[in-house]
Amino acid sequence: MVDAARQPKIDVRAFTEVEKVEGFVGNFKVTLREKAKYVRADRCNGCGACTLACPVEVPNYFEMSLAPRKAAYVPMSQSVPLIYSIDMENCIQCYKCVDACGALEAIDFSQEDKLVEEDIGAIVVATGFSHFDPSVMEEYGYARYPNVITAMEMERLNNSAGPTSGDLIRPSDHESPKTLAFINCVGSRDKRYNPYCSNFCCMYSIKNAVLLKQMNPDVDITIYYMDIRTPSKGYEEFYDRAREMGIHFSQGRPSLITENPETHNLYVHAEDIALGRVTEKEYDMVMLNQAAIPQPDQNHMSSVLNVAQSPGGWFMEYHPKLRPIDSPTDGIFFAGACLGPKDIPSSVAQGSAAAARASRILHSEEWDIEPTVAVVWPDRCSAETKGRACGLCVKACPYGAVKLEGDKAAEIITAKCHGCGGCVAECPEDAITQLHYTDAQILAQMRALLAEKPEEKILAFRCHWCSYGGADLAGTSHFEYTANERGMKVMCSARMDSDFIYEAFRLGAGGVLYSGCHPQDCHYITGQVVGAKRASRLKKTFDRMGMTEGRFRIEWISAAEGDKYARVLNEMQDVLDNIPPEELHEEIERLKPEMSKRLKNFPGVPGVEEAMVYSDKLVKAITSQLEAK
Amino acid sequence: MSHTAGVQTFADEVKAVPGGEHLELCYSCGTCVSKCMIQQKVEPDYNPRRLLRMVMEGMEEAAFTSPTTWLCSECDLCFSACPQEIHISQVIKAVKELAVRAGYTSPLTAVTVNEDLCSGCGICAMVCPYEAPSLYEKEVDGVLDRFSKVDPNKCMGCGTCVAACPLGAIARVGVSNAEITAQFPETPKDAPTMIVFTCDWSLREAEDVALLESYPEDEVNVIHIPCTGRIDPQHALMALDSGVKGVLVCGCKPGECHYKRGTDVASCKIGLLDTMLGQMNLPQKQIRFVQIGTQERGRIREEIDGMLNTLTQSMEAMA
Amino acid sequence: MTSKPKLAFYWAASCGGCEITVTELGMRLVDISEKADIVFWPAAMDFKYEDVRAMADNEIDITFFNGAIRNEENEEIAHLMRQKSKILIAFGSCSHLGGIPGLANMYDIESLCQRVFDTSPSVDDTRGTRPQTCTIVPEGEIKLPALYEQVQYLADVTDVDYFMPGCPPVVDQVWAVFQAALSGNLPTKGSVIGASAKSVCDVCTRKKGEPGFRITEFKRPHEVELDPDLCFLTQGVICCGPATRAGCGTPCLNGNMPCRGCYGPAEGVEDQGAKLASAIGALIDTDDPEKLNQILETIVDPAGTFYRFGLAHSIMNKMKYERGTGHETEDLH
Repeated sequence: MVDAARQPKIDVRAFTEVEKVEGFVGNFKVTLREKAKYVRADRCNGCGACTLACPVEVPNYFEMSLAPRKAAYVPMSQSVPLIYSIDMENCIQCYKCVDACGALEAIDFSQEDKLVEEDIGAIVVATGFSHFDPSVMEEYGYARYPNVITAMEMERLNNSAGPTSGDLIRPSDHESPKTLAFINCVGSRDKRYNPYCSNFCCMYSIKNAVLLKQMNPDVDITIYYMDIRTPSKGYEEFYDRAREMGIHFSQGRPSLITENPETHNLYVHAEDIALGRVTEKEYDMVMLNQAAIPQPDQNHMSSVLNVAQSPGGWFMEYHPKLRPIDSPTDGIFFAGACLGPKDIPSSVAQGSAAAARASRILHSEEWDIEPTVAVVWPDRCSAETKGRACGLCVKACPYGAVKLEGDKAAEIITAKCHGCGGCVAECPEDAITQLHYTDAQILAQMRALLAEKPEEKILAFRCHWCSYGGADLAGTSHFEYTANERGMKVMCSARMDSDFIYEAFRLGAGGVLYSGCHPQDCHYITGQVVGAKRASRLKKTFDRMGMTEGRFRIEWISAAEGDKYARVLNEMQDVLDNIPPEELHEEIERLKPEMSKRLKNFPGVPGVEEAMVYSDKLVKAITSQLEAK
Repeated sequence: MSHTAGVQTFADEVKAVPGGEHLELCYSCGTCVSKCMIQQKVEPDYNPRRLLRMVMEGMEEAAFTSPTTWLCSECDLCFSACPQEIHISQVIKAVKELAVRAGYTSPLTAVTVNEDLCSGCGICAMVCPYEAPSLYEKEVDGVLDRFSKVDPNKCMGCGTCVAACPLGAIARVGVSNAEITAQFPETPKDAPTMIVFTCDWSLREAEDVALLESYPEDEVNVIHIPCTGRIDPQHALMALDSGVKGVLVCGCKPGECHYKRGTDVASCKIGLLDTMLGQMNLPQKQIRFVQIGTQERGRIREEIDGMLNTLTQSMEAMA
Repeated sequence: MTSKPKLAFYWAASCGGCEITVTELGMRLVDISEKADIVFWPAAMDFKYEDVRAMADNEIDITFFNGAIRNEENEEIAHLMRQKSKILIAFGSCSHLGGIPGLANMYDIESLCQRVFDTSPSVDDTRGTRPQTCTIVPEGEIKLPALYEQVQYLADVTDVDYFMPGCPPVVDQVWAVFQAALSGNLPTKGSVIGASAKSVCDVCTRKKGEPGFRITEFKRPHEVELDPDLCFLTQGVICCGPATRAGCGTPCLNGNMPCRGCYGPAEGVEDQGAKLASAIGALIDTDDPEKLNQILETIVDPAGTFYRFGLAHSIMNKMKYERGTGHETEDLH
């Protein structure tokens, strides 16, 4: 931190919050709220005289409330920059700090929060994590039993700069504990609270145990664990060292802690898995290794930055394997535990990687984007033709890339568009198209695929990122599925236009699959939501028309679910097999006029008519070729 | 059984039972084993974690003969503690059902019905937490009469039915009416003699159980019952009538009852008794029901000492 | 003329319903009077206590004594009838268990008198008049029997040979007992006669509750349209049948009303009310103390419901009066 502060090209803004992020990669406008410190940064020399003079004591967050701090304070002695601030919520305005500061005149009670706008090229998010509060787990008695503490509290108790100067004492009587139990996986790997593994706690509890044992060789430490996970270099060796030091490891997750109400000693009830026996051991003190959880304001940050969140609330990377540092929004990168629990080496590695990714932008004159962006035909937009903007494109866009002002036709900010195609499919005027995925192109593909015996075919719309991958995996894994499947790729289920589905059935398709990512996995943040809403509307329409259940099917299939892709297609084939051919034929013919009715504007879309003529020729060619054979 | 799904394994059969779906999520952490009290109090080989493993490994025979299969009383302490949210008691119940189908029988001593006394009122069938009793009809002297019969593979022996049977027609060794009243103590006039009816599950800690035996006999007389569902207000009144100064009933915290609902049943009954004592203008503090939680180590001492104090004080006031 | 067996009837603290049952024998009374002499029956015939006192000890063969022991007179005549009778039968719920009058044992005498003589809506008396055991009038001294602190049942004050339950005992059972008594076929002394051993549920034909049935709210019979084919308990209505002796012929059940418990505890029941609380309490479904209180509040007057006819016979009564653990109280509940 000190090095960072000294580097002339790094500007550290402490006590500052990001309020608003606008613009796009290379051209962000970020509004920052510089909070009032009530101390002038240009005058404070970090002497600490104000803290000494301040008579107010409040719990010290940094010390896990094990010690007090003053209302005039720095969060910790290593704070960078070392500028004091006044905690106005607790200040009694006695002005003793002002006197103590004297001639420096650094203290300024008239300060207010300041909003600052900055031009930013790239953003690295490194907001870290928070801690699970174990008091909700009644079985461990945290916050009821004084001698049950958390790992973070232990961290301060065991720190020479901490409130006890590194003396390990137990809260109930300030005696030094002789026997300690550490419990791992408190609130993690637990479906009741957080299902994930918290990643670093195994090593962390071993580290704490080793440190304690070094300081106090006579203490007896038992670590209760389910599995010890030591997957990185040197970790297993460290674990061995702890065992050699005489730290006990007991496999079995404790179910209960009880307390002797007189001595405040604790009894840990657990099964010793190796023995298959329940043990109830007495300890002077118990430390809970609580789970790492997302920051409490992570949802808020996610909407400020316009980035997606994974299940559990962590920020979501663009791609878990191939682009683990990038956010779905160009120019925003992640580092460290804001993406999920991560230990120090991984966080440092990510930080460096994120800096490198960001510097690519800072050193570029131009920036390449995906070519599949959306484009508006202004003369078709209702804002221009009817003077009334419907705004559906704005609603559909996960990136805020559509600009719609007054009666001017919608405009796509190309640098912000990621090419999901949601706006294209949503536009009721067919006024937007997507490069490389135009209606005409997709139509031509559909017609070709349904040229021959369409009633036997199942047209499967797959999104590029998930269900297409799922289909691919089904193939590479040699999962057998019906040969009547005909796959179509679009970038996102949001692009799966109602017109395509109507047209497929109008052409006489036996079945249509509408597939995409699981809601949490969408590559385009909320593209799947747009697609899913449309799909369920379509389903209702087809139900009302009296279409056989199962001919139109909606499924969310991830790239890892090749088996599911195969199963769904086979089930759809079963549906078709179970309808007698003449009945299916009758149903298709009966519904064709319904489909046509809904497609009456479709031929007017630029390029569609030509595509129809072209594909008709193509179809004729294909069929005559087949006949010739 | 499904024929399309290929071979139905033992694990598949168990997973098909509601609650058994997540069987294979079990990562053998042992929480269930130590949360449960059966291993420590009754059967050293009791181990739900191992039973689940046996099911996963298809060890049918071992599972059917395991004490875990037969001793689980579905208290669900483990369910609320399981980090994988496996409804363990339902998995065990499924194994038990398959075991019964395969001809295995419960090693527990079930309650029995004396048909000479049974009037077929059906209260036992209604109150049982396990639906073990049911009514059946048979001809007696040319007349069709109703009687209760108990499924020994379902009965867990809590005695809730024994207490609820109005006519004393249901009994089990150790918990019959006569066996309980025979334990009423001699009552010296000057001693604050009290009876503690305690269910063996509410006192998790061995030291709390041992404490019960540490009081002088003419002060604290302990009558062990399987569950406070077995408590009969008649017995409490008979005890007081015999000269006992106070009755303390000690059961589990609601939600932690070893036999699902015994402690709730007891609080209903004692609630009613309390109201009736009030109506008769009799002192209500002579009968007290305490529900002790799994984490309330040492609370039994407070409760007994508190009651002894109250009794001594009121005896002094009367003298 | 060979001497026919001598019968006597007496009513102590009672409503007279038992007497009406005897008259309901109708023409069968003529049969009885052919076989036996009725020598004392204050409700129907003009005999005086002096007539009984004049008899030799054990001169009466059988005395049917109904009513509870509420005052000095009741007890005095109980002793008298015992002295003059070979067989003394406690006839009806009041003499068997204390009956409805026994419910008064929930209150002390002063609060009862306040209710009856001061606060009852039909009383208009500001002078606080109370019956006196002795009043001097110009003609001399007028005496009234003193009320007892508690209501007792016959066996509380004297030795009783048989107990015949019911409020009132049903006519056919009365006839059967007469026949058995006149033919010398009564069972061993101390038995309950004119009733069965098992409970009302044994003879009730209603459909019983399914396994796992629970009550979440109690209702009184007038609050619910009762299904004549279902067990009352499954309809949330308290029925004393499970712990009550059968033999009544179930007139209440036939009238679609739950059993009120007048035949007293069945064999095997030590304390009717406590046992009913044990059986019915176990049907309540809740683990929430607040909800439990709400449910229990829907049982209006549990002591009066579960001990309707047997409060004076209960263990609680014993605890209150014999062991003196009761509290003094000033006001009515």
